[in-house]
Amino acid sequence: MRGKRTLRILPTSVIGSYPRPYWLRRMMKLRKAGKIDEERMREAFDDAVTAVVREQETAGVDIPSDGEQRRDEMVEYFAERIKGFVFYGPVRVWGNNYFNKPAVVDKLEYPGPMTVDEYLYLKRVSTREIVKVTITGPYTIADWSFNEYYDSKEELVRELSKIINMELRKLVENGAAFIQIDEPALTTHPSEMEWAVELINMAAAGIDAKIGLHVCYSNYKLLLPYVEDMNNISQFALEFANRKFTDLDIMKGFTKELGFGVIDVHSRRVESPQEVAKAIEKIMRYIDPQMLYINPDCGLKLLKRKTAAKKLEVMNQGAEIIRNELRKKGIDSIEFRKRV
Amino acid sequence: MNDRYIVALTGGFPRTRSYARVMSKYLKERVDRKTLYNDAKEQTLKIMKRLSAYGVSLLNDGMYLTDDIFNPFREDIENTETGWLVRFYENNNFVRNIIVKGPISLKEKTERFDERLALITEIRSSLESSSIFRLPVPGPLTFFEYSHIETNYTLQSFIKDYVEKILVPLAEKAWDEKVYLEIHEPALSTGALNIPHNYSTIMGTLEYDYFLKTYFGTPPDHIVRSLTDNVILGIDLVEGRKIKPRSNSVELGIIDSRNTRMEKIEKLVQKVSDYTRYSRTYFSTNTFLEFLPEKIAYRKMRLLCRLKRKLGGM
Repeated sequence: MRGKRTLRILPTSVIGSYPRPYWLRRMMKLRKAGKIDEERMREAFDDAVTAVVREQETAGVDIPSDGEQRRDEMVEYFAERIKGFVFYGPVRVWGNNYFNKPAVVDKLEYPGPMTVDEYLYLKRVSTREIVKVTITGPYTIADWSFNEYYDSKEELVRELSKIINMELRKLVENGAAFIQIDEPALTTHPSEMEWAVELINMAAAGIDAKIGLHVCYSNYKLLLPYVEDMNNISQFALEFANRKFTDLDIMKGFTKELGFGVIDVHSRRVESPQEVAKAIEKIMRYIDPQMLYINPDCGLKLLKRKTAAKKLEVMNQGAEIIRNELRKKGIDSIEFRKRV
Repeated sequence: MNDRYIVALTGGFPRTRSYARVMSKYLKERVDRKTLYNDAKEQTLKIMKRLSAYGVSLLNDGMYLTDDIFNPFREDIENTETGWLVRFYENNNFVRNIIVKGPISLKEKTERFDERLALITEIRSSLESSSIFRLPVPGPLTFFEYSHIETNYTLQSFIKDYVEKILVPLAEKAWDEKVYLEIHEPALSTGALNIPHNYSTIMGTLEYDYFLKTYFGTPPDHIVRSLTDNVILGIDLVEGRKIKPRSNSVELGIIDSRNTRMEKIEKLVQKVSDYTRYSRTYFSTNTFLEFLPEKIAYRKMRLLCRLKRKLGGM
């Protein structure tokens, strides 16, 4: 049996996505034009993952992801694989950012493992003991899809919960220790939160791994009353830099681990280490450092690659300023907990 | 235009991929504003021609030159800054909120509004039809709801300033070009704000005819009853309940622009049957079409035109 795993205090991680290297985007275009075969494309994806994992680690990230290099978009990726979806075309989300919003037109079916190969490759190339694998949650997949088939959205989310649960089991069977369920849509419809939380719990039920939940650009006042109900979720990765660290006091009394968002992923401006440190100091008024992970607000994929790398470096430098203070008090590590 | 039934385009229309590419270049400063404007004009003209051919006769600018309903509209307003990304009501659609740092008023040069108005007039002159045009702008309540107020405004004093100092002069500018304001006011029907009792009185300062688009719910009865006669109220019959404004015209948002499932025309006819007393009825989608992929947006607009023909409109 594996012993207790520890991380340095204020471990840093990412939310998931990371900018694709320029050459990967070129390769994808060539693949689309039929100029390279699938095997070569797969090799390019593998190489891209190796590169971006190394970049995260060089920047000081303790728990890297594969940068979601193989995924065009977080809902699209799963809707392309789960049977029962079709695509009609892109829909704008904000600014000049679009995604192919899927429509459910038939009964949904689990197609077999969707993320296991991603995880295994990440684990192989990372030097870190713990890596993060991300999966889009059932509520967000449903909310970001058009429902033309199921009688109710609740029924659709229930079907997706079963499918996501099957996928999580496959990941754990293959050794995944830290899985993050992405549910940015969770607070979108306050009247649906009750059953949405129940069905996210259903997706996470019986999973023997640390499960984080990422919710961003959302109303956290709506989320917080449900935190205690999410038994199998040990960490909540939330966005705070975008909202300029306003209303942090709402986190008072928070009993789970917090993945604290300190980097604005929608701004090209690179934060300073001091800004990051100040934000961490501020959140430590409400959250014990033993319950704190540090991460960007959200995925970094919309940034230029150099900017993303620099932001991660600064995130780690900012965390290090506070780590030095904590070390003086004898606090230098944190236990990697599956359950909180 | 003397039709009893008019099919209307509401808010933003889904953007073409080629326009998105030009916008991307603009954001990376690889093309200038003039190039963006020209491309927006070209793309919007194609869309409006197609919609016009279907039978849509109340058109707008498709909001091609905007990021969202608030931006860059707010750039014409003194003492405001663009804020951070927030969800636009219960949607996977985000806007940047507005930081209000002091008393609001229109800037001497309203570049962003003028640009959109110019786009509309150019499109209109290129269309071989008698279409009428309107220009989508945010309503006072909705603007307030998405503002981070750093000054001494109350909701009521803000609405008063917004209507008198922003909407009134803009309505005059638009009217000079024979363009209506399409005032988006979902905050009137979502119930998130305590609507001041004199909302309708303040809005009454707007003397020209205008469209007041409400959606994602139903506006309160007392507001509906007290609106002045120059208001053409847009109501959401997909998400809201049936209400009947007292004026002679009404805009019915009868098609769901947040789902790809196509409505049955018989059900639409049934919905409209409760609104026979109006001398003019506008048919539209309940909210922006930008929640849909482009091809579905066209299908939904075509369906509205079929409805008009079925009811005996030309």
